[in-house]
Amino acid sequence: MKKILNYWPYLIALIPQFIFNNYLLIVITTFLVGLTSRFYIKNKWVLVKMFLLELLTFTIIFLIVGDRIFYLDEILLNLNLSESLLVIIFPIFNALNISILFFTGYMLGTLLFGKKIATNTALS
Amino acid sequence: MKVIKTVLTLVLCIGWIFITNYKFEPINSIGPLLTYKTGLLSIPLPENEIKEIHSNKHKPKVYIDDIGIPHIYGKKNNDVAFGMGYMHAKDRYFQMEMITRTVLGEMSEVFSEETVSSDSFWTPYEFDRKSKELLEDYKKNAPEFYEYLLAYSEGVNEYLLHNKNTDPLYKIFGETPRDWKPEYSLLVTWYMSWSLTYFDQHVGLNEVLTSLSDEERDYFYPLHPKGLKTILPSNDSIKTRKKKKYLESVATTNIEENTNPLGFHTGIGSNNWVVNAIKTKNGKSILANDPHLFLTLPEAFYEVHMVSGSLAVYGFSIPGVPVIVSGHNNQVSWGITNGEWDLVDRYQLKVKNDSLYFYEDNWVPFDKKQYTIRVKGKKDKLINHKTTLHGKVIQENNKEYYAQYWYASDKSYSVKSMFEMMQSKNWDDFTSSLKDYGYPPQNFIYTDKNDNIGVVCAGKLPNRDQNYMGELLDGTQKSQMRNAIDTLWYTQNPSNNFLFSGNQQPIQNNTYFGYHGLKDDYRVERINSLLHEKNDWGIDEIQKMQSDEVDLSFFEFKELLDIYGVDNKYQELVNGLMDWNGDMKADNNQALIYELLRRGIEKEAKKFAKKYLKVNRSPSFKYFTKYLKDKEYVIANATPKNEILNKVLHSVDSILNHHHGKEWKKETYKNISTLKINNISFIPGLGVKIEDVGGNTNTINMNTKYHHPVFRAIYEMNKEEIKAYTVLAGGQSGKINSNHYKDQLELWRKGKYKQSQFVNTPDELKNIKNIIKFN
Repeated sequence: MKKILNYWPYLIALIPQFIFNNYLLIVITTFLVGLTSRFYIKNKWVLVKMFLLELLTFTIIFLIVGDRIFYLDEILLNLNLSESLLVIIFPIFNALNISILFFTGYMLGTLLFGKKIATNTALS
Repeated sequence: MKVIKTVLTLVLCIGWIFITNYKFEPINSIGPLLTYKTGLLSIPLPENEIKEIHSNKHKPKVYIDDIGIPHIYGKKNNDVAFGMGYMHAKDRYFQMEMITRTVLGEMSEVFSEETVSSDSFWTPYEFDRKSKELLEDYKKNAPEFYEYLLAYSEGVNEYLLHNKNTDPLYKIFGETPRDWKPEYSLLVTWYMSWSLTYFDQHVGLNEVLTSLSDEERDYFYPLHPKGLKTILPSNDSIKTRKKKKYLESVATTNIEENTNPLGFHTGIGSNNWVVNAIKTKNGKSILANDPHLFLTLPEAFYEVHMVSGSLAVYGFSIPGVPVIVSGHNNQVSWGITNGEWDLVDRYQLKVKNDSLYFYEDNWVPFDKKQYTIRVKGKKDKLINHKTTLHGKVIQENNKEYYAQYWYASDKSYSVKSMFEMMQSKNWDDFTSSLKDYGYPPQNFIYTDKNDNIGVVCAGKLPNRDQNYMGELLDGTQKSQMRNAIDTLWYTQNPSNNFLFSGNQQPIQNNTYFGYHGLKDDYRVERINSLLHEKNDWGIDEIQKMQSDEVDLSFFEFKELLDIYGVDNKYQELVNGLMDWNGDMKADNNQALIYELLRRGIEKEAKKFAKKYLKVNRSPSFKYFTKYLKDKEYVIANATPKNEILNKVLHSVDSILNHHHGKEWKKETYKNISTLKINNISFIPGLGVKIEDVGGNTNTINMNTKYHHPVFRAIYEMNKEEIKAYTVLAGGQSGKINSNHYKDQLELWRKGKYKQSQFVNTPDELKNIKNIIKFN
């Protein structure tokens, strides 16, 4: 049960990208979820955990709706790039982006409110 | 230490956020583009479906076939206009918005600083105001047409209301479609007029008129070439023009070159022709049309079929305008080519202090007006526009001041004329509908179910002095012109049983339409000779003719070889040409050699003009080869003619050996004839490279740097039914995520066609994939 509680901020951080049409709103809410999660999760491997969770989620989404951007294959081919790059670009970018937004909030929270920075580092 | 590490980590994270939010104008930032809900992945693919949409006013039913062509059925004309608006928006809204933004001078609101020069050109014409005034005029004087435009506009907005997120291009530029206004349909006329009539050759022409003797001028740059095959019957009896004094010529270089690919370039290359029942094997008249424009994806035209109580029409529309510009109804068919009439006057000004111009013995200040250009992501730009009584002020690179007046920037009733034209039942309806047609001047070819054929050259022509030859006008004097008159030049049922136009001069008389003698007419000659020789035309033969790639200029070049002989060194080069037929096919080695030779001759003509004629404008290929062949006519101290020929042969021999070595005989024309079609947004990677295309600047199936056939259409008429065979250079949809974005491109490349469905009721339609019903 404790473990689940420890993961729910990560799960909440996944939601804004699927409900808001406004990118600024996605940035702000993901950042705020990261900021508040400072109080609920252990500060260990935060960036990595968020990255892997988002990578998994977005890869599933990409497999479902990836055909919507079929035309990008041709752009890559025209630019002499491999079309398989798309499968890498979209999930990796989103995993990095959401996890960094979340992590930025989390780190700022740690800097502003945290006292355990000296003992635990989120990057370690 | 840990705090520093945390701060550094935060700085890196903020750096990432900054980069992913940074806009590389005009492209949207990478963050929103790649995120699911805000980016490209959020745009659903178009689906095949039966959709029912509630509509209070207009209730058309739209059946979309497997090529994306909408068949729109409604009770009234306004119902089908509404359906057409809906479909134009569905498939081409980005294109429509870009065209209207161009004409309004509002491109920089989307494309940022890249389009400020375009907006600076368009804004001072005040087309926003003019289009609103024109709409008000229609409201008062043509209420039926006004209501039709309103219905179309409502159809466009009905689509946009629920479909703002369907086009990836809007996402890429971080924009959303803006609402359509009824007057926007009228803006497209000015866009087409710019593309088809905004050319100004007067400075170069003035140099020709002043620097050369009459004899030289008539030899190299004839205004009235003898034997010119005009659109309407002509004879060569021209009254001699009065001798006049021209303004002193001004040495110029390239000031008349148009650098915008979408603008006017000489030799656009549109064709239309018609043969009556006597000339066809099955006794049905056939009309063919293949307009040429700068090709983009999507291209300029959209195929549509509309049936209402009083209207049944099929053909090609321009997105944004609810009329068929080339097509047929159930009685008549028509096709268009550009008139290429000279609609620009250029005045030479006498200016002092960069602010005063001499006019009727007085120094008069320029009229100045300031316009604001809104630029996306940047500060507004202010432009200062100067005008004189003769038109807008232009200061060229040579520091000379000119005033320019473009007649087609005036209001014209062309859209209404075409609205009436598409409802014509016979020749009389057809010609009377075109009486008010203004800009851009077009050659409308015609046939009907009763086997009448005709051609109308319609448009407003500047009311110029009878002695005018295209020279610069004197800006210190009062303007004699500045008004254009409605013209309607036509002919019907000629004795040779065919008619055609290929952008040539409408008629050879003392009227100045433009300096058509500056360009070659090999394409016109080819169309004329093919139509003249054959008397058993069928659909297959007409289709082949639209893809004809024979360059008649080759035979004039060949005469040169016969006259001067060929040096042994180049014998191998020309051996293959001796029994070649001039067919510029992509897989042909001779076509490659000849195209290089032809370009070589043109290059020499340019040098010759500068060095010996002392003018910047070079004579056309035809008149330069005439000079080279002519053993009598000589220019003092000029390079001997056989030397010029040898120079060209040497140059081509060197090019081939340099690039291909001894293997050059295996190389073909496709090495240099490949065509690249860009997406309308010019985003790299969205374009298509088409190899294996033949043709050149002189062929019916033209292939030049700028122009290609945008569609090909053939209409076969008889009393029982009308058959149409068409193909678009691309596809119906402008959306890069649509199956119809370029699904006709391969057919077009191969010169193949699809047969259209022109039926009275939707039950008779085949291959319907989507149905949209407005209830």
